Amino acid sequence: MKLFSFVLVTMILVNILLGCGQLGFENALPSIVHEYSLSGVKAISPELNRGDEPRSFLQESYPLSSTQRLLLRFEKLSDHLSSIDSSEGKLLELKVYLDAESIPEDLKLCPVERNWMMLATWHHAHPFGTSGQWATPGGDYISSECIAPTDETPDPEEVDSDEPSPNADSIRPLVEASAEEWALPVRFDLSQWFKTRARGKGENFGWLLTTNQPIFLFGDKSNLPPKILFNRFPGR
Amino acid sequence: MKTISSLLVLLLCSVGFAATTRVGNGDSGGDLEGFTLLESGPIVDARETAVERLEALNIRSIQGLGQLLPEVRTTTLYFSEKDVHETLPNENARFHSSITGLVYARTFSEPHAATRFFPVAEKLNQDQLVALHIHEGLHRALPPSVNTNESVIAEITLAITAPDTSFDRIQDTVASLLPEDASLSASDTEVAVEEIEHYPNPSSVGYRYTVFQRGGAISNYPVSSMHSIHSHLYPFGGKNTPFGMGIEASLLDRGQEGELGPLGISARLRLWSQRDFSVGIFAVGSLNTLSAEELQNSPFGRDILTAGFSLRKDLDHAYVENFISISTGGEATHRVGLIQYQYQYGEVYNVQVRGGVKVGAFDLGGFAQLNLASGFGVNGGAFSSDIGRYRLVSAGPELKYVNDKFGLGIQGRFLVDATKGANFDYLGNLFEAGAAKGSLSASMSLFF
Repeated sequence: MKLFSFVLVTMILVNILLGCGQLGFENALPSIVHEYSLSGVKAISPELNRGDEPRSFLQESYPLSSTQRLLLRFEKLSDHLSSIDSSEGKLLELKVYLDAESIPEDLKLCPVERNWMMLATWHHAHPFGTSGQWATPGGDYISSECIAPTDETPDPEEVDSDEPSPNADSIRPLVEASAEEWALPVRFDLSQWFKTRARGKGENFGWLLTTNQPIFLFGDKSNLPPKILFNRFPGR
Repeated sequence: MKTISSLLVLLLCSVGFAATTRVGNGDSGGDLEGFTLLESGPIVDARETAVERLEALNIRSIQGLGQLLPEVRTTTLYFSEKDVHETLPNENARFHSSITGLVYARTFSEPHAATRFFPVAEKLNQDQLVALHIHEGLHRALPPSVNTNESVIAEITLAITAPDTSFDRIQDTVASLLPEDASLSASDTEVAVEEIEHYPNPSSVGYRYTVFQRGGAISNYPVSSMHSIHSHLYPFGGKNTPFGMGIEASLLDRGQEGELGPLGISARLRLWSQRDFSVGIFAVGSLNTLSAEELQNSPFGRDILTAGFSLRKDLDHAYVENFISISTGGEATHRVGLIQYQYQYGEVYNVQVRGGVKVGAFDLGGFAQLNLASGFGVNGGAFSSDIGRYRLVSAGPELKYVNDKFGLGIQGRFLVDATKGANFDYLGNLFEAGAAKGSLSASMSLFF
């Protein structure tokens, strides 16, 4: 009986300490992958002169080419900054769906260097002040930190979609089977960006998706919008 | 014009006689003329021109001539069907009769007397008729001690009608001719002084079309042009203190479909100061939130109250006007895509100076304006921008044609200087300053 009581008390104490993260076993616990569709999706092109051009946001699809780029940002990143688990082996990715048979070789995702808003154009990051103009038409980005798509594919079983939100950065239902039949998912590893930019410098200027080959990308109004996937620390 | 006026003076001087205007004691039948009321024609037109000239010279501010303008303006005009010869003592004065001895006009040398014109007066040109109106008016307006002195009246008439005349010259002439005890005219002491109505038609309805100049900059809510109509009615107040209310509605052109713009409601008071300044006090509410849904979901989607006053001084050939006002701050939200941006506006102090020259009914001038704002910021999603305190300096030309019945005008506004790359979009006030980096506008108004 004494032995049984000792084991029971020990188990309770261990559970309490683990729950508080005091034993450093945090990484050993299973984390859950969260998937959020991006609310900051903005097409820029020399042809789109107005910041509020309706064709530049909330579209079913966006064209990409040498003169058509896409600004992307997880606008509510600050709400999740402390809960994202970017440790080794953990998932922190951007996922987009192409309306194409193959991934363009020069498709890349580049960290944007300047803050922008949904009124951005090919020449301006935003309409306000002298800092509103891109230094380079088409968007200022850090070319040395551009990344190519990864070869990994997501595991739908790991995705947690139980946090509904009506609009911005809301969790969307999993990819519909019918659309997934012909949509080409493309994933980018954001781990390095998260460590150096988001958590390191406190920046969230988003990314610029570029390619010189004309392709189409599923938009934020479609069932396959650009998404961000990340692991969360359990309990946070 | 100078040549005509010089010829007129020479013509009138060449007659060179002295006379009095006393009538009614003749015995040659000259006082048996039949008269008809004169309501139109060159003589009546000349009276209007004489009134305008006297107003332009601010003649009522000259000591001793306070009643000249009302006498010329209100005297009843009659016309005789037949000419008469000089029959009265001293009637062959250079302003009263022709070289052949026919009388141009007669009046009594007392306030509010009528003026009678004779057929020979129809041979006079407009400038001569203007001089005749003023001359006859002087007989009624001057003090009794001099109102029959033809040489004094002729000198004053010449001083007023000379082509290069000025307020100072007339004042000097009158001061040298009138005795000190005659500083007040007869009617100044005997009858109530007529109050000059400086705002005969204060109410107005009008239309304005404004094209905004973007100058290469993008906008948070591009508006390419604005149509606006206004109606300002002044049912209250006195002759020179009209008080009223106005409404203004607008339609915006944003390159796609037209949108209903801000709705303005205003209260306005105008008053004429004793120092001949026109003072305006106004409060304007721009009610954007009563407007269409499109404007509510825009950086302009807020209500603004602007209160201020204006001071205007009209000189003989120039005008100067100052405006000072303050506009309230506020907030507006604008949803772009899935992001809702919140705009925060601070109070704005507006100072404007206008000035120019007056050429006939035209005002040709310009303005300079300073908008000093206490702040401007935008937040939404991961974007945040706080411009803080900033200024806008703008200027532009303006040309107006204004008469009693209607006015036409064109105006330009250009951004001259601004801090932190600001432009008029930052003010979020389409009615007051417009949008973008400047504007060109054309307007027309009817006065009543």
